[in-house]
Amino acid sequence: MTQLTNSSAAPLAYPASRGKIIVSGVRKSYGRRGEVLALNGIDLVVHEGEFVCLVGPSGCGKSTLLRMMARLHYPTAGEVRLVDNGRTHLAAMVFQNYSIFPWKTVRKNIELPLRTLGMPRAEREARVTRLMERLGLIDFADAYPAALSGGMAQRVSIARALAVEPQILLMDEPFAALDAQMRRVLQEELLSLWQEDRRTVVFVTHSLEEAILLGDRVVVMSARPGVIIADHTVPFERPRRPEIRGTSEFAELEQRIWSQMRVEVERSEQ
Amino acid sequence: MTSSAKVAAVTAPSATPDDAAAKVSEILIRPRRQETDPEGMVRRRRALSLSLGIGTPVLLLVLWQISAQQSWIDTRFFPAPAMILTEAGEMVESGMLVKDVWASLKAILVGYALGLVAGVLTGTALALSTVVRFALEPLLSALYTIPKLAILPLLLLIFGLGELPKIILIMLGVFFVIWVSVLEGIEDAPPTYAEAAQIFGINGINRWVHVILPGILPNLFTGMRIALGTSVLIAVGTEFVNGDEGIGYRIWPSWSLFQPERMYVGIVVVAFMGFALTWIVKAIGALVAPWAPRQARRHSE
Repeated sequence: MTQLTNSSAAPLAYPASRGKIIVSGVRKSYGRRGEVLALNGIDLVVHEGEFVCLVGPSGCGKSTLLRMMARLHYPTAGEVRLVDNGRTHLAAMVFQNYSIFPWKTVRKNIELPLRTLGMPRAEREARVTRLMERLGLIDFADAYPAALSGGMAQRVSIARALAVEPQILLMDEPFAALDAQMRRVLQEELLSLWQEDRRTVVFVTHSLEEAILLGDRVVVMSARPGVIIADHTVPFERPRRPEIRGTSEFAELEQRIWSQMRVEVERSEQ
Repeated sequence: MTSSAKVAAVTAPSATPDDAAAKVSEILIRPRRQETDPEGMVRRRRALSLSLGIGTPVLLLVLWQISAQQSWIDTRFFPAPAMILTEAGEMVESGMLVKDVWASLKAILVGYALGLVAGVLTGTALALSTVVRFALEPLLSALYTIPKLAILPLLLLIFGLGELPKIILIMLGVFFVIWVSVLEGIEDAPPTYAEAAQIFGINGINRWVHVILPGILPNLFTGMRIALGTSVLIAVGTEFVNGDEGIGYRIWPSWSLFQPERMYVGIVVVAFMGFALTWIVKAIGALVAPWAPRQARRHSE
């Protein structure tokens, strides 16, 4: 890992430094003979309470890596370890296409995992109501997802994930399908939501701006076969305000990461 | 920084009082058999699918044969498969079966072709002209719900006995499925296609050839497959009550003549006929519209 252009010497911006997700030597290949190599030797530690953003060109395997952490995909070699403290649900996921059920109202969608986990009715209703209030969904509580805009649908998806109070929150390009303004609004909401409870988050995105605004670390992956080529610690202190987007420090970091990524994006085109 | 060092650091029990209460455990996500031996998995899966796909019907046939031989089941109603096979052989030898199949097939092919053409023309006309549409759609939709076999007596009355009522009835059955598919195909086409055509001046006959007709093909072929089932059903149903040849004619009197073997031969032959016709329509569909999304994408991975 010596080739990494990381700045790990900087003091960590997050309190705990215990590993929550430990990825070691993960490779993933597709095809009957494993002819398509998607991930080639990934080592990554995500610490408890840390917000880690994965960026990289399309097809670099960042979503695959994320889905392994969710046990939706499995590695061809190597392993992913999740440390479960046994107190709450281990991992929840927010999908790009929302993946909320069209046949359930907003309230029922958010409530469903709590119901199947066996939480008493009064308790889960209180929790769902609180979340809907927090995310501005309360007026849509009894609406069906078909009536919602993309931004609202993704709020439902986020609320559903937060409802189970997961130890690990996995987000797979959650804002990619939204328009630019809605994306900004939701980024800012997520930023303030996360700063309230600081759970472990792994966030896959195409947007460097999003990654720097939200993340404690920005992990850059190469074009396929994906490897980690850089691991940046984001220097802005917490709690952060969205206004940091306008600072020169922000722009410099974005430029620095982009210059690393640009080569990879061009390579992935070929 | 090796991976084992990292893991050791994590597995060491932490001393915070918080963790003492709840049980800390580790979830390991490691390669499964699918990942370590993907080729073997595909091979095993294929072998399993093939052996069960063939094995299950064979096993059922063997069970049936044994049950019949042991008289566990009443062979008057469920004759042994071997008996049915013998009967089929005799029916082929005497030329009866070939004649029956041809009689049914001929009516199906002619009626189907007529119904298809009429259905495509009508569906297109309905989509093309609002006047035609307002005039005919409510009427056609209302007629759609009439079971086609219900008007057989009327057709017999008008056209008399013979082949014609059967062909007309098949044609009607096919027609009603097809015009709906065509109309829906044109209606459901994303408006952006028409918009793109308009912007680039693709109009008139060119619009039909290059944009509208290709667009309805997937829908049309789905309709054509459904219509096949309808046409076989109508053919058999018509032959039950009218005519002197055809598969339906062969199946129907078998119960009163107490020839269950013959009945089973008829049922199996009809099933094969439907299967073969469906396969042909599917193959033509794949040839004509290779770009269409595949229907059942099972057995993928």
